[in-house]
Amino acid sequence: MGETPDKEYLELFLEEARDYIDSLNELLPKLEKNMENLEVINEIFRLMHSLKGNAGMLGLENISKLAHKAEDLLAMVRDRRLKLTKEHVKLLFRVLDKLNEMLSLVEEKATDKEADISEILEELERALAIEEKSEAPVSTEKAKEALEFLRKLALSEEKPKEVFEALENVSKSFDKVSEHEVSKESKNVEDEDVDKELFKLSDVEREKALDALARGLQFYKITLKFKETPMFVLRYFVALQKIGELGEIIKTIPSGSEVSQTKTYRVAILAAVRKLDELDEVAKEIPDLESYDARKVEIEALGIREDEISRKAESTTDKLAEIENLLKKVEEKEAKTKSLLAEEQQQSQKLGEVRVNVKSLDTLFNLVGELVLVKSRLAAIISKYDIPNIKETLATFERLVSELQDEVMRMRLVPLQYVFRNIPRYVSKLSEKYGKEVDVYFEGSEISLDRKVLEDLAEPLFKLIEILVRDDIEKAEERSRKGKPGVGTIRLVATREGNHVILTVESDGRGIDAEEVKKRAVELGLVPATTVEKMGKEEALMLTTLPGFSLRNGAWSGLDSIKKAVEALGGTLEIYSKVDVETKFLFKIPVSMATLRALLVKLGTTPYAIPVTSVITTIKLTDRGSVGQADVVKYQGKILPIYDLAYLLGIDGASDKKYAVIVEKRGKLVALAVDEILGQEDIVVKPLSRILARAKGLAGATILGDGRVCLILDPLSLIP
Amino acid sequence: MWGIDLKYVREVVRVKQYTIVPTTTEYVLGVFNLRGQIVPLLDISKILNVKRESSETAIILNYNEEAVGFSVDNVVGVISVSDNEMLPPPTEAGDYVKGVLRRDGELISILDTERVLETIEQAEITQ
Repeated sequence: MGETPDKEYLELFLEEARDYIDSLNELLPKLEKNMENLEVINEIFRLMHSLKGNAGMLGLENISKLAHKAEDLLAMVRDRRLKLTKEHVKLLFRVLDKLNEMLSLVEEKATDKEADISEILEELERALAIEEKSEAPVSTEKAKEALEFLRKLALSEEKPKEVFEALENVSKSFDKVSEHEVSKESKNVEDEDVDKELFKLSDVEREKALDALARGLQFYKITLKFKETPMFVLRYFVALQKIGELGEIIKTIPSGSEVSQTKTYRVAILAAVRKLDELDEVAKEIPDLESYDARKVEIEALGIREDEISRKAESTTDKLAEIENLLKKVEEKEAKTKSLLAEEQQQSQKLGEVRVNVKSLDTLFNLVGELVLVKSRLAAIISKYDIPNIKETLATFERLVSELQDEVMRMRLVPLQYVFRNIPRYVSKLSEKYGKEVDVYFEGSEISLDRKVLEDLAEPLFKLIEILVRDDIEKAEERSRKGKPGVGTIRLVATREGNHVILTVESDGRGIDAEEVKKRAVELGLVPATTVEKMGKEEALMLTTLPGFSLRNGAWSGLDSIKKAVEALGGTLEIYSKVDVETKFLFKIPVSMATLRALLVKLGTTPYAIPVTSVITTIKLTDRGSVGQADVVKYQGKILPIYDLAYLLGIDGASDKKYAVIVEKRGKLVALAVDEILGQEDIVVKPLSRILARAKGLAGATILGDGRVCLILDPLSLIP
Repeated sequence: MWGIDLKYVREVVRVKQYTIVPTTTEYVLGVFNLRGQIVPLLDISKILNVKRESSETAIILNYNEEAVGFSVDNVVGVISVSDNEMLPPPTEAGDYVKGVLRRDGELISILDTERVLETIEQAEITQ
């Protein structure tokens, strides 16, 4: 080890490790909240364990070492040898940061050798040194062991979902199967070696064997060879369950946790049963079995002496009572575990999904976009000819393409949870930074958005949260003076509204005073005093999003970049606030910004696209007139202001326009004059190059059927 | 004659048609469709303060992992330049020249590509 590992493996490792880190990021704040939560501790333990193993295989010794030490700490907590404190959690957070740092290092240099982990390792060592006396065990050793097995099985990584199905039955006899987890040293070896290994019993296995003897069972070595099917692991569990029902399974090679790695499809089982023919019967019921062999094993082969048997027999009655008691407890626990299993099963199904590189998904997505374009082009050509057969085929083709498009869009949807889950930790960091106490709550984290949209949303969202903690939430003493709870609250609520997600972020701090904002905006020279006078409260609050805005004390600076980011996504931002009660930011974001139904209009000879979401209707211009300086048009008995769209865009707008598109801005209808209305079309939105990203009034571009680039307008931002 | 460091150059294409982008500065001719990707077409002669006729030839450059097109009169060829051939730019050459060199009696100015693009980007933002 130590040489640079294969790039491909490294990438796989990094991808997986990042997943682990993400989960850890989610789990640690949970642990901080409830330090007794054994489920969380176990999960963290498991993740650290996997990380240690994976890193170890690639020779990333520092990562492996650090994860190992963290695992040790968690193991001690789990086994109640150490009581978890806030300091421990903090330390774990730092371990996480360090791991993250090392992953970046690995990404860059393919090794973690340069990382310095000595300090943090020392701290972990110190923490480990303070071992506490164990508290009295809650359940009997055996029950613990059984539960341990259930837990392990539930959390075991290579669990195929079938195991869970089998598990329901297995649970009846799991007490018998539990040993498979315990034996570690088993590998695929030759027959005699198998015997040697199979008959070498650990202490626990030995206990088991003695129990079986006391019940009058006999030992058999059963060799099963399965057909080479992917269901092999499941079949293995079925076999164990069935044989287990006859008596007791002492040991298997390979063990339960290793079986999925074996390539021989052969297992050797040491079992204790009443009669051989019962075993033969059961073997017939095991599916996909290629060969079956059972051979009696004398107790001497197992190294068991006669006197051990008699000693065992005496305590058997006690043991039976104990076992009964144990089973009862296990049943209780099992009921609980089942709900956990259901959860785990869902997760495992998630794991069962195929990992697709985001890049290929994007490529697929673009290709489908192109396909939609080709479809329109084809339709345009075909419409010139009257060939019934082709029209039918085209209709089918169009349907298939749109289904394909829907499906690809769905594939790209990611629940908000992916962003939300990083927030608690971020908030706890911010709380420390600004010396405030803040709780954060979520609703609607299951609501999905396009991956790209979500990615681009994360940054402004995090920024907003920082601004809220910084400028809105008061320090604890100020809050209690105001009669508020000392701990501030930030609440994120997402709901779906048609093709948009409404995300509100609100906090219960100082609020924003609209009058103060107005004064300040004038003072900074951002808007003339005359404009401000007429502004309503909500409009005034939007002044905070002007570049360069901040209150005298510097508060509420940086909102401009948030607004810009949201608008780049095709979304909108609104601000509401009640002084000393609440501050609410409302984001309206399209679920997917990839395709768009647009109205195509012509200005001069150039077509432009306007998203239909911002269009109320289109009209032919007949009733034009003017009121004072302003041009107006009559629409449904109302007088609307009319602007020449070409003029707003700064293109020559001299021609007399015949049509108008009616849009709504802040509740008021406005008419935009255009030369021609071409109709509605589904367009694939392509981003404008970064250089042009901030060009006014543009939302992106698309490629028309003839290959020309057509700009997508954001008409609302053009209206003065 | 101008030179552009090959590390920026992706390809040379003919741009038959492009779409004018209103509300941009004079440096931006428009955008065009490069195999499904939308690429801005820039006229850097305005920045370099040189006169030129319009042409269909464009050099596609990589800028921050995005494609950007420079409209040019034509592409003469590729040459190798050793460091010691490069002379410091004469002060009157403006801010956008990294250095000059002499080849076959002709003076070639090496463009400070990043500087040019940063200037345009900045102009678009503050516009």
